[in-house]
Amino acid sequence: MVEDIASVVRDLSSLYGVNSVVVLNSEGEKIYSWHRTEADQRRFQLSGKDIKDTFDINKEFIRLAGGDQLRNVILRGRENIAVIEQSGSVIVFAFTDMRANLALLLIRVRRVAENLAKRFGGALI
Amino acid sequence: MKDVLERAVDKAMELGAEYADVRVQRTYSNTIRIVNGRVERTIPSVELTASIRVLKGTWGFSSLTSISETDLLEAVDKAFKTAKVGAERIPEPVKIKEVKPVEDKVRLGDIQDPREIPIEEKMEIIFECDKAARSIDARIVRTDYNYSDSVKEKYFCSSEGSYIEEIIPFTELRIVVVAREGEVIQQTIGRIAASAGQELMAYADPLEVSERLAQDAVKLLSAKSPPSGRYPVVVDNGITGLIALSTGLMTSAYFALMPESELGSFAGKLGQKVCSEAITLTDDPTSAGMPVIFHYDEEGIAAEPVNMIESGVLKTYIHSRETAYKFNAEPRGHSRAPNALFQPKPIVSNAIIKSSDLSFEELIEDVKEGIYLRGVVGATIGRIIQCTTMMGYRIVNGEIGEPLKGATFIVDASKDLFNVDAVANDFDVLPLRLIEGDKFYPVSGGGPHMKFKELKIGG
Repeated sequence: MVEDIASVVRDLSSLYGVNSVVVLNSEGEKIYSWHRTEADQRRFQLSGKDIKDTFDINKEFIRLAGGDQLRNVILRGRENIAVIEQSGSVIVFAFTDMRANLALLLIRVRRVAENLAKRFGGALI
Repeated sequence: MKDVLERAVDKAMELGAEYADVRVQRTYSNTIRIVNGRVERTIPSVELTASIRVLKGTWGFSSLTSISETDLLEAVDKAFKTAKVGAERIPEPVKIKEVKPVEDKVRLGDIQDPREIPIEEKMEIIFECDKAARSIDARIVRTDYNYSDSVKEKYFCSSEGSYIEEIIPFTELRIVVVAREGEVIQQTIGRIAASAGQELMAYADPLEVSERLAQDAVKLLSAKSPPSGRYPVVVDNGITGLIALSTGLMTSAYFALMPESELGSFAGKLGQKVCSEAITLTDDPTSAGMPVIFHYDEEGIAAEPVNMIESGVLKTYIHSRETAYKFNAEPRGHSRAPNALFQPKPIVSNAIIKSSDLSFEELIEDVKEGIYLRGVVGATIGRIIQCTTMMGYRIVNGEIGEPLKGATFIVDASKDLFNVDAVANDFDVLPLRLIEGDKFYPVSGGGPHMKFKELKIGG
């Protein structure tokens, strides 16, 4: 299954500027992770729980603000962008540098999350 | 660049000019059109335009598409001769308002420079939007995506010692979705535009916009046609924007000096009531996130917001240096041109009607039977504004009722703008193009929902 997930995630990891991609199930367990280089992997300190908690906090934030369903979380640093998107039972996290095309990044994160949910959603729960 | 431009204006002054300026604009642009999922065209281009303007009793102007020193100096000769000949035939010499010289360089801000984004990435975004729209319903029969981005590098140099460089980005996506069921055809239109880089395509969420336009087009197939006649009418932010833009154009001193022209209705009306007290109209080329942003206008003057109409009263026109002299006013950075081949004139950039503190619900609560109009499909502007809207709703006893197909309506600025009852507390903006020759000015109009006591609607 990991190879199958990798083939779906390639749509996202092939985007210029993307340094890390992590796939979680709805419990926040890491199912798959990819890092462009060993250095990116060493720098990466986030756990699956960190990613899920961030998504959940924002979900609640939107709800308390009077909004509806949270689609994604976008965090912009000076040099990096982090995106978290949930589709069904799949959570996808992408971490990029500023060279990434943000519009295309959001489209591909969404596409990968939807494709993973469609293909592996049940198996990841 | 600076040295060459300075030598050009110096030469104009040596010839005997009272004033001279030179403008250069290098525009890097990309346009992509995708219709029904197929690429119709992609045009990457770099356009170089330049012009010299010389004042000697009247204006002499010469434009060119080169910035070689020889060509520029030749253009100076032509412009000077034109001014000299023209000056013999005018009753009164042209004068310009004095301004302080400025030296500045305005660079691109924190944006994703569209020149650095590969064309295939831009196309992938549009393909995804197109796919999303067409997958909404089998009755979606046509999708049309027009994407364009540009980065303008502008240079201005004057004989008074101003030298300004400014880089301005612009990104735009126009979307048309058509649904069809039998003989019924329905079209929806969306526009995303800002003086921004490729990040606009992320923040404006064109995917979501595409899906919504497709859903609306399908929904409208079964909607009733709007009734014809005079009704209380509430218009959405985009339609308010269209009215703001049209009214804003009439506040240009350029048109006020031509009372016979279609946009000359505000001639001689300074200090007078020109519309309802509910309307305060501003032109602001400096506000971040708007479709048009510049720090300096085409005459090298720092741009600032101007309230042309306050509570229905025409307080000021927007000016060039020439019209400012005529009206004894201050030029405040609103002279524009589609590119350096055109002479600058005072034209609005982002014409904005000010919001109130009234919620949308409060705006419609006393409407017993009226129409709520949304979205601009097509329009002609002037003293008479004709607009075809995308869709509408009935308003019954202060509540939004059944959806209606688009309607046409006419606003006669000299009468109907006095019929504006109230405006709401929200805001949105409609990016538009003001065509001149084969070029256009990016412009926008914006504001809150707006209520007319009565407006003539055609089905």
